[in-house]
Amino acid sequence: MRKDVLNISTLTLLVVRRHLLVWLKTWPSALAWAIGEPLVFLLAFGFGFKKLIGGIQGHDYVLFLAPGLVAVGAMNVACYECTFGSFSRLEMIRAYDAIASTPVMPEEIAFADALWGALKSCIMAMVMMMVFAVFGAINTFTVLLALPALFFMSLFFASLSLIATSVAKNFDFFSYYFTVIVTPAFFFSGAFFPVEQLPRVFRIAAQCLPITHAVDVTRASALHGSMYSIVLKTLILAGVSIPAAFIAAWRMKKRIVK
Amino acid sequence: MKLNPATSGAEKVQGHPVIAENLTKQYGRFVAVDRVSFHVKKGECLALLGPNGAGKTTLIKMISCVYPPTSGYLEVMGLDPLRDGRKIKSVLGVIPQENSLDPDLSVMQNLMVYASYFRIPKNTAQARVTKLLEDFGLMRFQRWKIADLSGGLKRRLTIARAFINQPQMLILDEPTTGLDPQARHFIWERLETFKASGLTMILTTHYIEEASRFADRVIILDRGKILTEGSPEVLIKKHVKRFVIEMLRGDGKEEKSMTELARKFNADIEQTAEKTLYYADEGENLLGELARMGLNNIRLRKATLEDVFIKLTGREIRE
Ligand SMILES: Nc1ncnc2c1ncn2[C@@H]1O[C@H](COP(=O)(O)OP(=O)(O)OP(=O)(O)O)[C@@H](O)[C@H]1O
Ligand SMILES: [Mg+2]
Repeated sequence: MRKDVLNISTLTLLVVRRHLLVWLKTWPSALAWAIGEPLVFLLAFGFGFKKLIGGIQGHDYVLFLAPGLVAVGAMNVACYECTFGSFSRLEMIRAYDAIASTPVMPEEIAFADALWGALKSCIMAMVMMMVFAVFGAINTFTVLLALPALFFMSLFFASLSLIATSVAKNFDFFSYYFTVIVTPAFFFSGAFFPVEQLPRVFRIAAQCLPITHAVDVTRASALHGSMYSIVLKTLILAGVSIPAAFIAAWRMKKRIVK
Repeated sequence: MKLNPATSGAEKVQGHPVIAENLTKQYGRFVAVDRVSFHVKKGECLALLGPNGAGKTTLIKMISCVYPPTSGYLEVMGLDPLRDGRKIKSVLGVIPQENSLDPDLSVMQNLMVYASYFRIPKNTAQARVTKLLEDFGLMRFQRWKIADLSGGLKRRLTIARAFINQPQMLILDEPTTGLDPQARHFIWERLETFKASGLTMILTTHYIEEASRFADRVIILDRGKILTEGSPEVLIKKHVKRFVIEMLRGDGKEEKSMTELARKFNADIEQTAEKTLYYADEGENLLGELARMGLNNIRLRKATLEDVFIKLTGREIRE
C-alpha cells in the first residue's frame, strides 16, 4: 500500500490461478481465436509463398515460417490479455476491487496480470506447436526448448501492455498501442522473412525488439540451430523482461490505488 | 463519561479497532475526506451517513487499507495501514458498494477463490463455504454463474463472501441499496446475528431505518467533513425536537397565528416546497391547537434520524 515499495509474495500466484480458472471457463472460444489466426497465416503465407520462395536458409518456407508464427502468436496473446483483458478486469467487471480488500496487495494483482499474460501465451504457444505439428510445419520436439524464451518474451510484452493499460482511459486507446507497437513488432520480427532482408535502420530496430530474439530462438529450437545462442538469448530475454514486469507492476499499482 | 466529539483526540484509547485523527484524502486536488477525527469502539456498530459524494466510500477504502490516506493519522486494529495493510486486511470483512463478483465463475467458485487469497486451507475453506451458503440461503445456487443471479442473490453472496476469513471487524458499504424489502430484511436478520455476537461493524447506508436499527453511534458526513456524531437518540435530541408536525400548506390565511403558536410551543418551522413542518417537543399539544384552528391535512409523527440528516445536510439534491 505504500507508494514506494513493491510488496510481492506468493499470493500473486493465487491471483494467477484465479485468471486461469476464469479462462478455463471460456477456453474453447479463446483457443479458437488464438489458433485461428496463426493457422490462417500458415496456410495463406506458407502454402501460398511456398512455390515462389522455395527455401529460406536451407529450409522449406513452411518450416521456416511456423516457429516464427508460434512466437508472434504468443506475443499477440500477451498483448491482448494485458490490454483488453486487464482493462476489463480493472474497469468493467472491477475484479480488482474485490481482490484489493483481501490480503493480496495491489502490486501483486498487477504482477499477477503480467505473469498470467506470459503463462497464457506459453499455453497458447504449446497448442500452436501441436497444431502446426499436425500440419507437418513443425517436425521435432526440440521446439519445446523455446518455451522459456517464449515465456520471457511474453512477459515483456505483457508488461509493456500493462503499462499501456495503466494510462488507458478507454478501450480506444489500445488501437494506438496496437498500431504503433504490436503490429510493427509482429511483421518486423523476422517471423515472415529473415530480418537481414531489411534496410539497415529497420534491421537495427528489429534487433532491439525482444520478439525478434524469441523468433530466432523458436526457429533455432525447431530447426536444430545453435544451442549456445538459444541459451544466451533466453537469458537476455529474462534480463529484459523481469525488470519490465516490476515496472509494469509499479505502474498498475498506481492505477489500482487511488 | 459523556463524550464530546471535539475532544476525541484526548481519549485516544488503546484497543479501539479504528482511530482516525485529522484523516484526509485527496484525489488530485479534490478533497474527498477533510480532516476527520473519530474512532470505532470494539463491538460497536458505527454508521456513516451522508449525501451522495460525502466521502463515505473514500473513508471506508482508507480504513480497509485499499487507498492510502493523503494525510492525518489512521490506525486500524492497532496497526498502521501503510505498513501492515496485509495484516489488517486479513482480519477485516469488507462488503464493497459494488459487488465485484467474478461473473464467469460459479457461486461456489467465487467463494473458494476469495478464500484462497486469505490462504485458508482448502478443507477449511470448503467447510466455511458450505456453512455460509447455508446461512445465506445460497445452497441451491452454488453451481450458478454470477451472471444468472438476481441483484438480491448477488448482494447476499457478496455479504457471505466477507465472512470467509471469520473477520474481527465488518465494513459494510451500503449493504442493502437497491434491494427489495424481502432481501433487505433477510440481510438485516443475518447481520443482527453477527452484531449480537459482538462483531465490530462500520456501516454506510442511505436507509436511515437501517442505521437506526444497527448503529450504536452515527457520524453524519457532508463534503468530506463530519457534521455531527452521537447515538441516534442523542442526535435527535440535540438537533431536532421530539415531534414533527407536517402540514400541507393552505392559502396562507393562518400563517400569522401559526407563527405565534410556534413561538408558544418553542417549535421550529421549516417550509418545504409543499409543506410546512413544525419541530416541537410537545407535539400532541401543538397538534391539538392546530386542529382547534380548523386546520386539516395535518400529520404528527416522531422525529427520526432522517430529520436530523435533512436538517444538517439540507434539502437540495446532490450531484
Ligand atoms: N477514484 C476517484 N477519483 C477521483 N474522485 C473520486 C474518486 N472516488 C471518489 N471520488 C470523488 O470523491 C467524492 C466522494 O466520493 P465517495 O465515493 O467517497 O462518496 P460516497 O459518500 O461514498 O457517495 P455515495 O453515497 O454516492 O456512494 C465524490 O465527489 C467523488 O466524485
Ligand atoms: Mg459510496
